[in-house]
Amino acid sequence: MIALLALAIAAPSDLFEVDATVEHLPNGMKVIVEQRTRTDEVALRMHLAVGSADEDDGERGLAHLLEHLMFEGSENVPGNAFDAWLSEAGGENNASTAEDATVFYAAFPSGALDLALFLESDRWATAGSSLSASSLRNQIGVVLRERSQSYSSPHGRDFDALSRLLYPQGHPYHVPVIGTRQDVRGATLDGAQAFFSRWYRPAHATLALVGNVEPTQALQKVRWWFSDVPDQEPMERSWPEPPPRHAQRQDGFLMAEVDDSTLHLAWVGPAASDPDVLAVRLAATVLGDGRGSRIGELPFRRRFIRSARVQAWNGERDGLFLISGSVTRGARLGRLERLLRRELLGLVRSPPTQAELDRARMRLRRRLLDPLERPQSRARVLVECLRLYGDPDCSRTQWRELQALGPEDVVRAVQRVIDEPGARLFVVPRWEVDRLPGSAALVELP
Amino acid sequence: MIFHALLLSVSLARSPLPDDSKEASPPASSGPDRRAPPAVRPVEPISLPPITTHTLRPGVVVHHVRVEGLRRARVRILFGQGALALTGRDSAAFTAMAWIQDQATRGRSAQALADYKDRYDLDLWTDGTLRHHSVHLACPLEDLDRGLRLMREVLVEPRFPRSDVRTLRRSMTRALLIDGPRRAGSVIDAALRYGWYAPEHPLGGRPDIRGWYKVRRRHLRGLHRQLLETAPLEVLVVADADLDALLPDLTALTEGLGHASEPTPPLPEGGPASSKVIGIDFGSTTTASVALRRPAPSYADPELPAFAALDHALGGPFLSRLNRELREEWGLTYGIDASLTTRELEGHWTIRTEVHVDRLGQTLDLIEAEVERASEEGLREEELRAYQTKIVHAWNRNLSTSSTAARAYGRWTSRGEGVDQARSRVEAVRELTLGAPQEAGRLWLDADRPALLVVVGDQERIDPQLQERGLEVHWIPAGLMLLGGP
Repeated sequence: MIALLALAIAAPSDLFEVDATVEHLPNGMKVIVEQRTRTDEVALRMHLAVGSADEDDGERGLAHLLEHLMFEGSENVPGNAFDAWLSEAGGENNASTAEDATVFYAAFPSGALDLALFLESDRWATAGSSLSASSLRNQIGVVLRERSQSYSSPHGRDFDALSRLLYPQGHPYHVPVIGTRQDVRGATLDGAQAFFSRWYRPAHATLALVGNVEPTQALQKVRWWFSDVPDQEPMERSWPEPPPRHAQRQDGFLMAEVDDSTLHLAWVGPAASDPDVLAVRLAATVLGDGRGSRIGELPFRRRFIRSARVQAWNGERDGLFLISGSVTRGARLGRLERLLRRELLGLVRSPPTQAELDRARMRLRRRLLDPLERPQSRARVLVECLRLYGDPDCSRTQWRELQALGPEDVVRAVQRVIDEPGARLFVVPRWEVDRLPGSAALVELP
Repeated sequence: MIFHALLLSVSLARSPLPDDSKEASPPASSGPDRRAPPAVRPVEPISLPPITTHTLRPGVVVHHVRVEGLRRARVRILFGQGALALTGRDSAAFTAMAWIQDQATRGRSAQALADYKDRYDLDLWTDGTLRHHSVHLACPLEDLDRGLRLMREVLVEPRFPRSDVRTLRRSMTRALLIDGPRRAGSVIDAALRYGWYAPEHPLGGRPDIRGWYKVRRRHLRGLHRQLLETAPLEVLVVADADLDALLPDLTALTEGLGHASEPTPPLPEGGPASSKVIGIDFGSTTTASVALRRPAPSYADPELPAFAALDHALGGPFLSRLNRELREEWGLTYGIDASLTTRELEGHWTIRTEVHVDRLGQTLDLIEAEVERASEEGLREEELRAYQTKIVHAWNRNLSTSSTAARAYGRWTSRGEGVDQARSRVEAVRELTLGAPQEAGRLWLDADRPALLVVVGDQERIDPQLQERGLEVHWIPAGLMLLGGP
């Protein structure tokens, strides 16, 4: 029976195959186009290589606030019509801001390609001069509510507190993306316009179109719609080189409306372009990514552990290697920490087995393949690949690199990460504060 | 990790797509003409592959859909019985059985099973509801035979590890007794559920807290055996493979399973007899959460397409009147959304948002005004057009990935529908005229219909605002609310 089925199903073609066209427009913008005709959908992704890491003191949170303002109208698209017109055409859109990038994205039926390019290019060409004081005032309120809403959930402050703790003052990731209350509240129209002029330049932008488009025609349309977006020199990013590091481990705590206590053990991980990035991801997967991983199994073996996992994140300047766990009420975080460190050092002392590596590789392979299915996530991959590798077709390369990694590479990469002092963040209910180590100071998020 | 999903600004009233929009045709040398937005080519619904239904034997039906080019194959086994048939209610034992079945088998420990699934890129999970129990497989097409063998193993030889039972018991009791009462979202969910459905309604059954303490492996094994021995089952396969090639393996997969018994009937109608307001005191927090629930058409109700258009215009995630008013005009909230739930015999519609606690009264006024306006005036032409286009585009995206395809065909087959019937629902939306949402609004958003309002926040600061509006609040402690209220 099984043989019959195997015969009836052909082996897949190259799952990682990417057939994209890349062009640099005269104004400096990079464009990626790839035709995918499974559905009529087209994904548009505008990646602006500017994020909270590019903010100066006094303007913390401005990159994110400006992202909100970019939907408040441009010269030829009256207030809020961006969303209304695109929605009327069957499309949807959103945006996000991170440390290194602000991304605007949309998905729509192919018949709305011109409309989507018109809307996107109009704000690039004219939005800076169309910002209004009333929109700014309103969006300040919305962003402050966003911050309150996020911070009011039990673990809603953890990552921002970790960034503050792990990356020292002066590091581009020290201040959370959402910014400081004071700077968001005090944002001015002049400040927003200056930030726009400084950073919203085509030389910082990469546009991807993936979906039911004919590449030659689509590129022609992109050239046309963005032809009046003026050419400007790229701005130099004023990041300190090398990024500053703490000389000693940093300990901090948050008091939260929780019953159990959580411990985050964090280290500065490799940046996205670092050659060790895949080895560290492999290590995180072996250690603590789901059932069957060394740390992921702990909650099923030790009753006092509620959850445990390991994550690796990589920004453009630095990364984060994070081991997190929580314990039941009354249990000591010190006990959890000893177990987590034992597993971490265990990986260095007894390198991952072939079976562990194979499993982890397959998990990561899945994470490379799945995003290639949908136009929206595929557009994200193509942009990231072009930015990091200079080629939108990098998933296959990453898979080959993953296959070539051996246990010694994983050990070396992890050792390199944990040689740095790192940080500990304790998130505890108020009655546990007295039991914390004296080195832990309350982490303020101003 | 640190990405923030952001709700964006919206407006309908001020900016319908102008009638003077034009076709864009890039000339060689001139720049773009930005005076009017370019014309949009209308969207037409595409044809989707049909469902082929084959009865393997009494009690075992196979639905097959061949979708070309899908990387992963999807298989779902749906038993026509769930918690109601097996335990008479939403019970701890059934939930535990449904959640732990996929963790280990007699031949494989949890770790070995997780390892095997990862190694071959197999996803396999189980799920249970009041009316159904299901086992799902997603795997690379070329490994479908391996996936089906593993599915059979999980289906008939689950181990129900003791450590998993213990871990789930601990996490469920904690969720009900410790974590839930601290989370506004969980408290609102509980208040909406128990405030809307009476205790005797299947959906209003109070949490089985005692059951969680008593649940043991032997109960799960017994329920599992009962399920295999009594429930009818349907298999749905969505894959780039012919049914003929799959039938021998599907026969092996279902061997000895599936009985020609009646599936559990639809859940009865629910909803309160009169309006009520439930408040949950969260101490001195500055954020107040609010939810407003009203009755809505059932899945079979011919008013549903028109009401769904109203729902979209009022509380669609980005393009909605409520977002425009509360977020864009007043800056009160990061976002507000409405969601429509429809079952065979009943439906409800819920608006949810979070605001500063001192702006709660104003928020309620604005929501009420928008709902009232929609119920009296219906929709504007561009709002209806946007909804119609959205529905067609959503239809056209059904085959985007194996999971979207499986979700769509799974939804239709669960309701006993074929592709033509599903398509006719799209056509019903396309045929809507402006009068229909207005009629649905008058009928369903009438202020006399019973509604449930839930507020969570600082009682001291909320109470005066609600009293000012003549609302009498029934304050319930958060811990008690999680357990079903008084």
